[in-house]
Amino acid sequence: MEKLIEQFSVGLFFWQTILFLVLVFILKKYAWKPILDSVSEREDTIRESLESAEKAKKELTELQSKNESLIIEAKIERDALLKEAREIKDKIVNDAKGEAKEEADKIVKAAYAAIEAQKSGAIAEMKSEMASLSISIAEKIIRKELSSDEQQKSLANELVADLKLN
Amino acid sequence: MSDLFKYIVQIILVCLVTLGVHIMVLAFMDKPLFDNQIITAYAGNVALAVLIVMGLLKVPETLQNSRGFLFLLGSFLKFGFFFLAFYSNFKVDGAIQRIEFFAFFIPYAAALVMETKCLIDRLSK
Amino acid sequence: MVIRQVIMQFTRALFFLAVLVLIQPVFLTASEHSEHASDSTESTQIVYQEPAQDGMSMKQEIKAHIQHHLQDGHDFHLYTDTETNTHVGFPLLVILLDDGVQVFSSSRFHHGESVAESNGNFYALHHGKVYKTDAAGTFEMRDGHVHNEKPLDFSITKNVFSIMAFALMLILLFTGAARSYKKSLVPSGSAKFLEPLIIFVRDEIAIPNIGEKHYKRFMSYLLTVFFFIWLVNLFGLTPLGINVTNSISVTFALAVMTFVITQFSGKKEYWKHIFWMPGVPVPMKILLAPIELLGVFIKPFALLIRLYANITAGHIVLMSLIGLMFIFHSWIGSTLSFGLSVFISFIELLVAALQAYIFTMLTALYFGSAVAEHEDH
Repeated sequence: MEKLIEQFSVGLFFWQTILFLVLVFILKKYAWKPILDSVSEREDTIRESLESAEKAKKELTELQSKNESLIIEAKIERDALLKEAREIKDKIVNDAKGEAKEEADKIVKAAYAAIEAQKSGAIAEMKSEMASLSISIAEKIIRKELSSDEQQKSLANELVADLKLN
Repeated sequence: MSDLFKYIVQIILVCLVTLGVHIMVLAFMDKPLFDNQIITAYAGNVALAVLIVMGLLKVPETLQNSRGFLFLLGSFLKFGFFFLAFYSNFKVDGAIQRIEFFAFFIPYAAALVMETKCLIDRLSK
Repeated sequence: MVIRQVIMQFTRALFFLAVLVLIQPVFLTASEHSEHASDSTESTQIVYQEPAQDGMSMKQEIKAHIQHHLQDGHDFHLYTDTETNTHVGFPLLVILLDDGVQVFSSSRFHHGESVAESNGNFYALHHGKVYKTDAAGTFEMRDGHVHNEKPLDFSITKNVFSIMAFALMLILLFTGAARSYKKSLVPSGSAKFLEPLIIFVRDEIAIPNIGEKHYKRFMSYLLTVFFFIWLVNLFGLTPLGINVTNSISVTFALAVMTFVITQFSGKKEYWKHIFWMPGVPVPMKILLAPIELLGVFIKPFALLIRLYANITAGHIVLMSLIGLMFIFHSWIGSTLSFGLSVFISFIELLVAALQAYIFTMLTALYFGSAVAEHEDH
């Protein structure tokens, strides 16, 4: 300890303090400040450009995913459209089929009805024809031979045979 | 102002009491009462303590944080005071005697305690 | 990462140093045996001030040389030829505060062999220090010490001159590096090498110890301290004999600057922790205040002693090993000693950087404690 104090030199202490302070101030002004500023500026630039690159990348992926979803959506829509179209087609076809059937049924029915009507008409006509025939026959019989039983009988038979013919 | 006044009165009172006790002890030990610049030591220490307390209280807003530094600076001022006014006189006979040492040290310690109290008050605010 | 490497290197160095210390007695006993033969040796060993006298053994000569090598001087002395007693070097300015300011060239001392006269006052050198004397140059010796009056010596000594040279070197080096950033933000030239070091100081020393918020204020001081100590330590390893950091005045000046900056930047919290420790009972507070106040002074003191002692010890070990080469007369001994001194030189290279790192680190730590805000309380 004593040796240390003996070694201590006020002059050297004084010069070291003065020179060091001057050194700190000169270096601060002409070296540390410009260097640290440039370094931090560069770090900022790097950080910013990295961030913007990251952002761009993110945007790109977003865009890609958006595109993809768009495509998927389009596909879904197309499929839906196709499906709908098919359904419509089926429906139209089915409807047409149904309508046609109905029409045909209707026609058939109408035809049946017509046939029925004609048939019943014909029957009715035949009946009335028969009635008038019977009446005319009966008139003829009554007019000609209502005198004998024989004749009546033969007439009746004749009539019956006629009837059977019908 | 009242704060400063309060501190100054406290310092003077404490130092007066210390001086009284100091003199009484000296009288009890049959030593010369007002030797070794004892009055100068008390007066000087009180004056410096008042100066430091004033500095602590009147420090500008911008240097509020440096009150402790101011305190240390005050202590260095006191060392300077000691070396300028006492050291050479004490050293005249080649060594600093215990009584000489205490003639300076007791008022120094008393004033220091008061300054520290003031600093602590300020810091705790 | 870097720190871990440094620590690894350091542990390795410590291990080798331990081995070295263990085998040292072998050399010492060996040197005892060869001592009697040393008088007759022919060597180019350099001795300053006290030319080799009859009866002065080689060991003493080496010791004197080491002592001299570690000392400051009033002229820039490179070496002395003992045979012809000529000195190689150049004189420096002597500035004394005595009877006004006395300024004269150190060549007037003739390397401590004659008395210098300036404005009717006479000065002479004794062990590298200036004393006031009479025309005949008599020293008043009492129990081995000179009791002549010592004028306040503000001379440009060898160390002061070296500090000026280092300051100039640092300024040239770093302003050069700073200039390269004007062209582009990408470092070029010396900046390429210096930038990682600057960033190391900022990211590994300043920011972790001081904190993001306050570190910028202290960067200039920390960087200057770091590079100054490193450069000075490195030059201390050269055979030029410029050992600035092993002079207690220089390390003391550095420690005082650290101390003043720390105390001046101390915030309210810092002082409160010293004078009125929060969170402990009042008697403890009163007990802690003087201890903490003492700690304020002890911390920078530890700083200055650490740097001083490390560098001085390194130089002594290195120079002792080199000295051993002259003591050994056997081929094996000298070779071994040579190898060891080369090895220690490498360790010293590491220590040079390490001490700069430690000094800067502790300085940053003290600054950090001064500006800390203690949110945890």
